[in-house]
Amino acid sequence: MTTKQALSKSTIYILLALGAILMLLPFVWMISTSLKASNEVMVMPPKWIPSVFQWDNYSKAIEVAPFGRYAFNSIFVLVVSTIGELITTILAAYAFSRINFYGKNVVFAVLLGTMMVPGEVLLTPNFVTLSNLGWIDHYEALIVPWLASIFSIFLLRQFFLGIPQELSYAAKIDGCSDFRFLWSIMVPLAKPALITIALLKAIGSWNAFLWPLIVTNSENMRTLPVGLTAFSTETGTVYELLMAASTMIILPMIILYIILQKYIIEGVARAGIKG
Amino acid sequence: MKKFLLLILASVLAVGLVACGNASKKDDAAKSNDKQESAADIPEKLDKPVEIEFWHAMTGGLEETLKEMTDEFNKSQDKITVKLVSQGSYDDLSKKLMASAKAKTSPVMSQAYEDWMTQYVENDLITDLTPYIEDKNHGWTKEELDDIVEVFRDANTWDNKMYGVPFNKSTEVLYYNTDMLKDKGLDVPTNWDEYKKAAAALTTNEGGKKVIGLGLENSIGLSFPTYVRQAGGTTISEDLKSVTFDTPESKDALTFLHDMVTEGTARLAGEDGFMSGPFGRGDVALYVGSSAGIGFVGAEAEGKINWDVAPLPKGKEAATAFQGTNLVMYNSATPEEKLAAWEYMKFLASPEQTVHWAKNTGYVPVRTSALDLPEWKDYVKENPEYGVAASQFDAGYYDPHIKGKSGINEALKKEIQAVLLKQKDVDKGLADLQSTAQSAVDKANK
Repeated sequence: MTTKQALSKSTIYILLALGAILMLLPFVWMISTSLKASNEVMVMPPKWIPSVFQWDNYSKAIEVAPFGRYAFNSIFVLVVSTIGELITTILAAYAFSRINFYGKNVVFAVLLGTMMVPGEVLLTPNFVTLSNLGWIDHYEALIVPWLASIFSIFLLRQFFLGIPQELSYAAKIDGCSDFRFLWSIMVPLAKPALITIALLKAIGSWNAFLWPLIVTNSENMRTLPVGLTAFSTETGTVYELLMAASTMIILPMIILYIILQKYIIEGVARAGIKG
Repeated sequence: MKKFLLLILASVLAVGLVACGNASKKDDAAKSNDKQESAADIPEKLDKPVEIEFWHAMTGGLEETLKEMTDEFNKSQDKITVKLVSQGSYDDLSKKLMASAKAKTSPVMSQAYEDWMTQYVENDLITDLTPYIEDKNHGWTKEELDDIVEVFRDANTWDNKMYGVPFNKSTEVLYYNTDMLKDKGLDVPTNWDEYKKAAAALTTNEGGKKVIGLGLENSIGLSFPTYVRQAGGTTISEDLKSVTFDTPESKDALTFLHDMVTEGTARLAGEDGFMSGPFGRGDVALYVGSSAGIGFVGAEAEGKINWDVAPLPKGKEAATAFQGTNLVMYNSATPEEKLAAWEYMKFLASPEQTVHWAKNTGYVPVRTSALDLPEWKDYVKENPEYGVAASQFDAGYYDPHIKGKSGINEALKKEIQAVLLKQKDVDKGLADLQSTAQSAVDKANK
């Protein structure tokens, strides 16, 4: 390696490291705040390491709301809606990438068009629909509207299009049905994309706040992010407890991400989705 | 080319969807306007048990106190059960109330700000409480009604009908650092002149510790009408058709604030979010904030500074706005549910309960007579800082129920902050404020 190469390499690494530190700061702040006494939270200049570690912030935070029940709901909704979305996404993406039918491009364009409607606009109509169905304050309301995602269909369709057509010809010649070809060949090949989709879905579902709040009323139906509102009032926020609860809530997602991160990067990169 | 066409098609469709959504919203509103509920028929008594839902936005300690009081109410009689439903923040609550009104699944009762209530009254969503107040079996006596603090009664009245019972009410007070004032030999400012001088004298830079005289919350824009009132003016015309930010009083008020900020003797909370932080660590000496935040100030200040609370200094006049929500009930409820809700409202507004609520939350009691209860007097003697807000009842005012209030508030937040962050001068800021707020009002009155 020449000096010039070494120099440019180390510049890149320094920049990347700086970026990584910048990304990590909020997490570090969250964890450090979760261990502070209340009068240390807002000290200027910021204190990165609490003078006394307040471990009981965690036990106090748990007592503020029925987080056990919330956690069960969050996990249940996450698992069911993720599996459901994977099924609908695989079927739809296959249809849009491999089956020729009349009006395919128009239907696809219409679906993409719905992505441009901001979620807030749909809040009230969706609520009215669900309440006419009698689903308010039931798991159906938390799960059914999220069983399909246009973005995921789009992502997977692009991925499917990248798989050589010859594979399906070969399978057809051997007498393989569309359905069998999809499950035995396409799905295993698309594993990185599917994991990406599942992970994005899981993170989205885990963090969702407004929708679960709007469609549920009883404490039994609420999810973890809704529980976090217990720490904020109009005149201020109990940051140390909020951060303790947030740390606990965010931990499973971080672990999931670390385990699966090589797939998510691969999945996004291969499907050619930028940004 | 084909792809391009598809893209156009998709965007046209998306725009179409959005546009349709808006159109149908208007239709709905018109429909619910047509539907008139019959006047209240109040049952003589409740024969069967009734369960009612109360949607609120109280969290943390506030929610606990509310739960405790509600349990007491549920136990105090055997017919009515009130079920508390927490709906997150006020913003979330408002969204949900809107959505459920459209779906015709409104709760029996909820908390509501006056500007929400203006809309609800207009759309015939909430119930006029006057028949309940006047009912001979369940109502209030004249004395009881007059006992509700006047400014709260007025704030809950539309066309001489009372639509809400005041619940969690707070006002702005002046927090001050007692040691810093003593150091400079200053008394607590009681008028604008003293206020300005105190802010200047308290702005110091000693031994590397910078102290700014006066701290203001980031939401200063929403409090701006208070300063205009203190300057002797108003911000809304009598006929409720226009805003008056183009008056000399408005200019006096904004100049007053602007001068202190440009001279460096006042600052906004900025990145600190709420001023309780900087005040608690001694970065500002005076601080104007909500009385409901006393608990937070106490927590921040503990072990760092000595502090106390005083009424807002007055300008030409004393003025302070009372914020907070009221209890309302919805027309969609049955007569039995409504009566149950009324009984619960009466309970929460009773002298004992409102004092209990105030003591545990920092809000003010909603009854004048509550201030004379021994329980409250003892409490205030021990915790004088909690008594200050209620001592300002006479200076209290409420914003008239003008349509387009949310538009005015948006304009206030934006323009006042722009002036105080020195992005605009006073005249330009007020001119922009006047035109934006007025167009919001005109739009709402169409």
